[in-house]
Amino acid sequence: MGSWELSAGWPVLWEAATGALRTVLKMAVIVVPLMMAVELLRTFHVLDRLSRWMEPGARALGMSREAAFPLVAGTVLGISFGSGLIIDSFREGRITRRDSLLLTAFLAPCHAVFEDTLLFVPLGVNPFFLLGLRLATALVLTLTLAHFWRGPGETPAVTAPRRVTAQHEERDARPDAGRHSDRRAR
Amino acid sequence: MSDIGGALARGARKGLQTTAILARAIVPAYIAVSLLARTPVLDWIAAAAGPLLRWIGLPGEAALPLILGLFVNLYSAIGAMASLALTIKEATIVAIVLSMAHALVVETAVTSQIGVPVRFALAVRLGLAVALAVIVNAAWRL
Repeated sequence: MGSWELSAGWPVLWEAATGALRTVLKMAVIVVPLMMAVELLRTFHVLDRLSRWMEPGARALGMSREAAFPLVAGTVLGISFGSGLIIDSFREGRITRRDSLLLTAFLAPCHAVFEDTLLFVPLGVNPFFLLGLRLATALVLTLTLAHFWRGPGETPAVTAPRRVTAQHEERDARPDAGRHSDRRAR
Repeated sequence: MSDIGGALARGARKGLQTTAILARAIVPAYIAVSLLARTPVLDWIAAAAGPLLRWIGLPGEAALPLILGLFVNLYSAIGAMASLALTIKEATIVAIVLSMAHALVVETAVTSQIGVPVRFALAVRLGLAVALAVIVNAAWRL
């Protein structure tokens, strides 16, 4: 019990308070520009366009085309922030039950990729390592589940086209259209 | 052009609002943990969690940011991490665990709204968190 004394009460509290504020400032430096970028994305409907490019990607991951939008929204905005968009597409019946399970599998390791990754940078974490690991985990997990979960994951109400072959074709035919037009835009 | 200006202004306002929300989580967590570090309580927690956390290469103190991150949110966990002196490897492992599994109460509620069973979401997130932490801890030494 020897070393535990709060004798130097004020300096300790001061140190804690300034340390806390420094941490908040570091977060502000990340969060404010990030939110400005997100607002730009919204204003120019980049999410819509991005999700149209990601449709083949969603198919390759065993989801329907319609799942591309909640997929992109969750990956970029996060589960709580993007939840409105994700819940909407489910309620309106645009995505199937299989979609939402695969979507969760993908988003569990990999959501709010910009915010959640950048927030750890001031603590010394390498953002590329963290992001790469999250993305790789999401891809491996979703592809594995999509492979093993063909039949039973789908509700009887949903007409289930055999996605096994389509999946491979889609992956091979995945157009790089997005990347090209992006390059042109620069 | 006014579109861009408006978007940037809105973004800045939202960024500041978010920072205020973050501050409400980070400041109390940071101060609580740094005061706790002056008492034997942190040592007790560390001693209790140490044997478990050693498996993923973390010191016992890392239990605090992990608990805050899993149950409350990422931001309070970051406040706690900032007040502990973690090495880069330790900070990375905590970041990996918390990237996979955080704010479980809120986020699991969201995914259950789209028809995903809570058990499934929890199993995936916690399973991935532990598995990746074990792998990264083992691989880092190489």
